[in-house]
Amino acid sequence: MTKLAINAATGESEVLAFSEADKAANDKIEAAWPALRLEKDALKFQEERKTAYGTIGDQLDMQYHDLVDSTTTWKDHIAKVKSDNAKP
Amino acid sequence: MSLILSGTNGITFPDAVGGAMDGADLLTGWQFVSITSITAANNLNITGLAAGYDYQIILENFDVATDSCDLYFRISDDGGSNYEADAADYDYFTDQANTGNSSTGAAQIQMNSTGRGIANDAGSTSYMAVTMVNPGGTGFFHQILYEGMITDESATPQLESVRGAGRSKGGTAAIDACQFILSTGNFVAQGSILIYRRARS
Repeated sequence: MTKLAINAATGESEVLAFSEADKAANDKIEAAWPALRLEKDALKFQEERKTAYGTIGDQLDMQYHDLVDSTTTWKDHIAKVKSDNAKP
Repeated sequence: MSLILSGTNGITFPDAVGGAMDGADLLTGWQFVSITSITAANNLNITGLAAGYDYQIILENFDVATDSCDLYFRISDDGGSNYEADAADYDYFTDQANTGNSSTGAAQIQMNSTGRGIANDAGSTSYMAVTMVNPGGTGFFHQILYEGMITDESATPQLESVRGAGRSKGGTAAIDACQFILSTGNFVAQGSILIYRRARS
């Protein structure tokens, strides 16, 4: 593993191999990654559903037209968002 | 600051790193230090931060090898031999596309939200500008401000703005080095690191 080291006093740079301290620090971060990845997937799923649902205003408009026109646009939309963005 | 009379152009203001100050230096106070191409590396370390300056460090057009990873930032007070990484060495608040991510006790400053990691798709370009306020000062928790854009790892990767604020609270010694590190994998050989500094007096 390597690090790109830049000296802010001189502007000089070099690619160096990891020191023992670098390796220990990176190993600790990498060890935490699998659990973090699961957490990210759960959050990503929530974020993507939230975005796909659309604004509350748009959803109320769908519901209004469903009532007036006897359609199921809103219900179909929500069902599609749920199926397109399945829980991990 | 002294003035130097040059032979052909009249007055030149020398900047602290050897070159002549340009218009941007005069307007903003920021002096260009260096630009370095990012190579394929796990960590990007900046050493040699001097007392008496604020620093701005910019990762421009960078990309990562592993999808969805997070960008971390750490500081060092021993020249970069060790970077502060205890469980409560940092506080931070990051705001990205209206999704927050914060901690009042972390082993690093996380510069993107947990739900929106950095994409590794072809063409991904992310940017982060970090301002370190008086890193060479002592006796206080050092402040770190950051702002940039992230190519996130949504089903359709998209650019999102991100900004945040953090502080190191593992100690109050002078900071003389800092580090960018990813939650997994490495930076790819793309983009540049620019360093600027601004004299505090």
